[in-house]
This record gives sequence, structure tokens and C-alpha cells, in this order.
Amino acid sequence: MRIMLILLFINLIVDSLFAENIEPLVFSKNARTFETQHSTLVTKALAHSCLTLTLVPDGLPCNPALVPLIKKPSLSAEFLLSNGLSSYEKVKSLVGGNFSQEVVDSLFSEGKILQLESNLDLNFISPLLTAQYSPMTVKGLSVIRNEANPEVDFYAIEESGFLLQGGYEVFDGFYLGLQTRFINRKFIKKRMMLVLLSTPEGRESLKPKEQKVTYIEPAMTWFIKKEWKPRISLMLVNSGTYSEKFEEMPTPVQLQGGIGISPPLRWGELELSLDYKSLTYYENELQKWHLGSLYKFGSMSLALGADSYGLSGGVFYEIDKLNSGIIYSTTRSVSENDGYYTQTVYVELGWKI
Amino acid sequence: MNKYLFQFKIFVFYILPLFLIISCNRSKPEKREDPILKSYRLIDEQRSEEAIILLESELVNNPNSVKLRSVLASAYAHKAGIKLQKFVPLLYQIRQNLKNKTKLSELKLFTNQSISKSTLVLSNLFLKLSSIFEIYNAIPNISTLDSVYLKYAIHLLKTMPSEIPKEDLIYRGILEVILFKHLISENLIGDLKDQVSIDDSNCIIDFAKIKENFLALGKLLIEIQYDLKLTDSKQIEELVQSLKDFSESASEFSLINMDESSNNAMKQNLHQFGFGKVIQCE
Repeated sequence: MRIMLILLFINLIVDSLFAENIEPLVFSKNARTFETQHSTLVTKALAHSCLTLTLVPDGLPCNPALVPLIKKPSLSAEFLLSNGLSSYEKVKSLVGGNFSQEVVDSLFSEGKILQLESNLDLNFISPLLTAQYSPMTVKGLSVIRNEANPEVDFYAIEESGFLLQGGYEVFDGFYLGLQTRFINRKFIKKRMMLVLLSTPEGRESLKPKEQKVTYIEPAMTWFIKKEWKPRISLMLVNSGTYSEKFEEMPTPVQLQGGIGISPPLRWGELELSLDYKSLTYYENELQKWHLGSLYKFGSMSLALGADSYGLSGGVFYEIDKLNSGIIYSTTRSVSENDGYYTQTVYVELGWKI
Repeated sequence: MNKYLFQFKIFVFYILPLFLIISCNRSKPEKREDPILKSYRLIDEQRSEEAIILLESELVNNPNSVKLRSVLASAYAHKAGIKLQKFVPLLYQIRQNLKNKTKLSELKLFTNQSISKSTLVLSNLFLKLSSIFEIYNAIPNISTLDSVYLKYAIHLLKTMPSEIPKEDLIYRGILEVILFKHLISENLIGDLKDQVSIDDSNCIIDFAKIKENFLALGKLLIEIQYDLKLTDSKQIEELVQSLKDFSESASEFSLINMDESSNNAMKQNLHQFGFGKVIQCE
């Protein structure tokens, strides 16, 4: 336990030393959508604090070491969508290489902020092995500032991927796991002055780039035999190979850590988790802490999450084979009085057998 | 006792981190705002005067900052009422139009045997300029007071401490186009609202006046062409030559009286090139 805490602490110090300090053009953006993070509805509600979560109701565990704790095999399909749906076709069209005048006009000459996320996952879950096929994930963000001479911060990502997880209990309460991810990514990510879009070179810079990535990510979890099931997890993420690396899409290798507890309750199950992980790879130390709580009672799961990006909460139901959920996230805390904030609603619909 | 221990653990593990994270979240915007982002925010909130004060004070401490100077120019432009967001797609269209620009020979000109070579030269010049005039519909008219701020914004972009970035060069070109329009509407034609009727036989084109103002605008126009990279150096030379030709042609017209049919044919051509609204009638 002490060794793990020391490792986590060393990682924190190293990250602090190399933390980049990039001023984002967005004053506020979706608190639960990030360029390189693929996550389910419940994980989003938990503020991505899920490294010690023993069971994710709508998908695979975040930590492959927890695969042996899965109780029941299942096959499911989950479709997630955020608000901003009206921009879906535009973003998909642009990242697909269709750079028509209409698409550009509608993306950059109207409004100031456009955001959306949509993904479809097919999950196979069992105590030995889990697998996920994601045929289509689309994310987009466009923010325009300074109407006198606009500067635009824009990304559009389309991904498809396959994920495999396996875990093993090495000795009593100590689990090791391995996750392999194969991702095909097409993306545009650019911050530029809008006037450059009037030049052929400016338009050329918005051509989509392609990347094929294979990640191999080891993980561990150690349960301490106490009433509250305290546990600690470590996971090495983004270790793998790239067909081509791009500066604008950084995914550095990172050691992530999490601690979790399950306070015993008379009714239902409660899991509390605190994770230390990067979601954007250009954030400060405080932004890497994420706190989540998941309460399961019968077919209902209630999730709450908080981190420096914002607050989120939602509910997820499983009724027979059908499941669905909705979460709300906001970048504004209760007493905050800032004019720039973003509220997002995500919905998910699924089928499980 | 166990109940209190439970509450204590919940407090230590959950409530305390939650409080810390939310506190950090609250202090985020203040930490993030550098002068440029703050200026963006002020401009978008229609508080360009505050942005100007902020940027001027920042420039005192950092006089060689190209970015600060560029944003200050945009703050002055905003004070003059200039908002470019909807203007940029149009600029691209204009570039495309210029690539595929129509040649004079391809147009069905309203010709008349009595029209001299000078009339054709003049028509050619108007054809070249007409592509620039497509911008007109997308930008607002500015007042004389606004033009003072606009001129200062252009001045800021002309006096950069180091080489001007490409995006600022284009921005300067766009501001010059807006100034160009203002100068035309102020000095050349007066009222833009009333379109000249083609059938109005009393309408005589005042070439002397057009010559005077067009020559004054020529220099600004060449700067626009250069800044916006709408033409290459060879084309700019052609434009300079056209202005010279125009000067000679306009001199001829100011000395002689056109007959009615030539005058009408010229008006038809000007309408065809989109200059119907900028012809002044005596």
C-alpha cells in the first residue's frame, strides 16, 4: 500500500514538473467530453472517476484488473448522444473531408460555440474477458472569440475502435489486468484566426488527419480487507504504438491512480472513488483530480461526479433487456457567478442480453 | 459510535475533496484569463473601450508584442462597429470569383458604334473593380467618427514592431476595404440608397468627379489588393496601368460631351458590373 502511494506521489510530482500551461480559447466547454476520452454515460456522470469502480452498469470496467469481479456475462449495445445534435452532420461532413462552403459557413459564421459527442458501443462482458467494438464515435467543438477579428478553436474527431480486457486475481485481493485498444482516428484540430479561412492555405490546414493507434495498458487493483473494501488502483495508459504522431493530439504515457471505498448500506450499494488522471493532457495538477459516487439500488443507478471541469449527475435504469440513462453536467458550481459556462445533457439508450 | 465514525469517514473521503475540487473550479476563470483572452471576452461583451484601455496598458509594458497590437487594432475596429465573423466566408467566395473572373469580351456589352476606345477601357476598369464591390453587401456603413477609429486600427497594423503575420495582413486588407467603401460613400457618390434608373435620360455621369476620387482611392485599392493577396505583382502592375488609362479616359470624357446613346450605353455597362448604386447623376 505504501509503495503504491509513493508511486502515485512520484507520478504527481513528475507530471507537475512537465505540466504544460496552454491558455485555452474556450472559457467554458462540455465538462464531460474530451478529445481522446471514450467513455460511457455513467462514467461521465462520475467525472471519469472510475479506476476503482467494480462494475460500470453501461459498459466495460475502466480498469481491466477489475474484470474478474464481473458477476454475470452479457452482450449489449449502447448509444450515447449529447446535446448539439444539429451540428452532427456538419462535424461529420468536415472530418470526412467534405470541405464545402455551406459546411464552413454554418460552422464558423454562425454563433460562438458548438459542441457535441455521439458514440455507439457493442459490448461483450464476462469474468474472463471483455471486448468492445465502437464502430462510430464523433466529437466536435468549435468556439469563436473576438467578433472584431475572430479567432477559432476547433476540433472534430471521428473514431472507430476495438478494445479487449482481461484480468487475473494473483493472490487474495490483488488483481492484475491488461487492456488492448485499437483505434482508427480521423481528426481536425486547429486554433487559428478566422480570416485565414479565406486563403487556400487556411482551408488546407483544416483537412482531416488520420492516425492508427494500438495501446497496451497494464493495470492493478489491491483490495484491503476492511469493512468498507478500501482499494487502490494503478493503470498505465497510452502506452502503445502510433502510425503517426501529431503534436495537436497529445496522448502521453501516464500512470493513473485511484482510491475507492464501498461503505456498507442497509439498502443498495454505494461506491465512492477518487481518481488522479489526465483527460486532456494540457491541464494543471488540480484538474487531474476527479471524484465520483455511484449508488445502485435494484435496477437503478444514481451517479454524481465533481472535478475542476464541473459537476455532473444522472440516473441510469436497466429494465429487463432495455436500459437507458440521462445525465446533466455543468461547468458552473452552485455559487459561481461567471457569465461563461456550459450545461450539457447526455442521453444513452441500450439493449442488453 | 459507529454512526459517527461513518459520518467522519464520509466527510474525510468525499465531502472534503468535493469542497476542494469545487473551490478550485471557482477560481479557474480568473487564473486562465490572460490580457488577450480577457480582451476577447470584453469585445464579445460589447465592451471594446475597456478592452482598449487594458490592451493599451499592456502594450506599455510589452511594446514589441505583435499579438497585443493586433488585438488592440481589432478592439479599435470593433469600436468602429466592425464585426468580421460573417464577412470571412464571403471573402473566400470573392477569391474564387476572382479566379474565375469574367473577361470583358465574354460579357454582352451594350455597345454603340459611337463609343470610343476610352469607354471600353473604362468598362474594363469597372469590371475589375466590381469583384471588390461584392464585399459591400456584407459590411456595414460606418460613420465619419467610426472611420477615425478604423484608420487608427489600420495604422496600428501598419506599424507592427516586426514582420506582420499573414493573418494580420489579411485583416488589414479587410479593414482597408471597409475604409475604401466609406471613402467612396463619403466623397464619390454621396447617397448610396437611390439606385439610378437606367431609363432616366436626365442622368449624366460625372466623369470629372469620378476621376478625382478614383485616383485618390487608387493607392488604397492597390494596398488592399496587396494585403489580401487578391492579385500577384503582375496583376497589380496591370491595375496601376488601368488606373493610368482610366485617368486619361476620364480626362477625355471631362472635356467632351458624350452623346445620349453613348451615355446610355455606359450606364448600362455600369449596371451590368454592379455599379448601379454608385453612379452619381447631375
